[in-house]
Amino acid sequence: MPTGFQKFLLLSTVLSALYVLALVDVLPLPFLASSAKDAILPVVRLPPGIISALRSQADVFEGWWADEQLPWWALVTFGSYSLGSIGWGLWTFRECPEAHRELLEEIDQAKNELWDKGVSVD
Amino acid sequence: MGSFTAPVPSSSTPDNVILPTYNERKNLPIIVWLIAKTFTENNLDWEVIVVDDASPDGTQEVAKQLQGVYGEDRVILKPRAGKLGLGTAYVHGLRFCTGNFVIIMDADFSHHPKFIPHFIRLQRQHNLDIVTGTRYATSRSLGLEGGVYGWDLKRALISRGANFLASTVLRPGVTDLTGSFRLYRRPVLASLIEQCTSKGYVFQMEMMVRARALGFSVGEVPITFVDRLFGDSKLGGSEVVGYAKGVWGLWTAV
Repeated sequence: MPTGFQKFLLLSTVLSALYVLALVDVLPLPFLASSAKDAILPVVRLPPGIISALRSQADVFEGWWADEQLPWWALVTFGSYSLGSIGWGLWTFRECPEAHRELLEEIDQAKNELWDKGVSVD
Repeated sequence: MGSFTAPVPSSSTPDNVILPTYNERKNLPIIVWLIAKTFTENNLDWEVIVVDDASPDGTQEVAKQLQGVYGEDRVILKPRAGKLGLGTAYVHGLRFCTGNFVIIMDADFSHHPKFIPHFIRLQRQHNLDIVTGTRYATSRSLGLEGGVYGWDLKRALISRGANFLASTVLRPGVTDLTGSFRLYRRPVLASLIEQCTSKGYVFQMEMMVRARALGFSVGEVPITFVDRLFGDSKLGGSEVVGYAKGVWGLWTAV
């Protein structure tokens, strides 16, 4: 039976493959305009030589760092979700001083009763 | 809390509480008293199996005194020759369980026996294999809220972060993965213990993760957890690393 980690690796591989295929225009994304796809998907703008070797249409990119891409977006979203989740957990964290008080009373009661019955309690 | 509008349906066999002890001479009588009080108030049959790892502080003497008070059929003392660990303590205790359901809990007052009838009731209602106590959730239907006493902000933050990590990575389906206040159907406990290899609190995590992987049904009851009644609750860097390693180990093993 696959472990959680193996399932995660499989899912990551599949998603990464789909991502790369979409990036090099092998996987069609019919509902997404080409310019939108170029803005969302790429992580790094590669030099023109490599791009043209991978794609049927070569574009010339300036600079090497693009904003608003899917992987970074996914990472930031996950980071925000994590912080939000932990923050929410902390916000809703409940303390129970009444349980502590009740317990102390019960301990006293128990000690008295048990002492009378011959158990050596402190 | 402690009284119910509906009685807890009792089982045909007593419910067994396995209490692994080490140097619990002060706490053991009171825990047994609390257990006795809870079970008697709810008309439930009970047995406490004390698995003592040769405590030097006289835990076994006090256990024998308790046998005098409650009867040897209620307080069952099964000592061991040395400090041998939690998993094996459960295995040892299981051998003497006569009931269908086994409750495991800590003997240091962090777990209060008053929740046991809630565990039993939930188990009967949904025919669950395991019921686990959770410190972090609330149940409107049960009218219970989880809570912790004795943690400062830092400790609570670490706990929340750790829980988030384990929940995201392992997807265990429970809100409190490291909890050790649980009710098990006896064959389920026996089969899980056989497969688990970790120690300490990672052992509790492994039990739950394996249980979910094997398809056992699990329910949760919110509990209040009074940590370290007589002292400070410390959590150091090495424990955090150990926890992360434990989560990784489970992720790659189950």
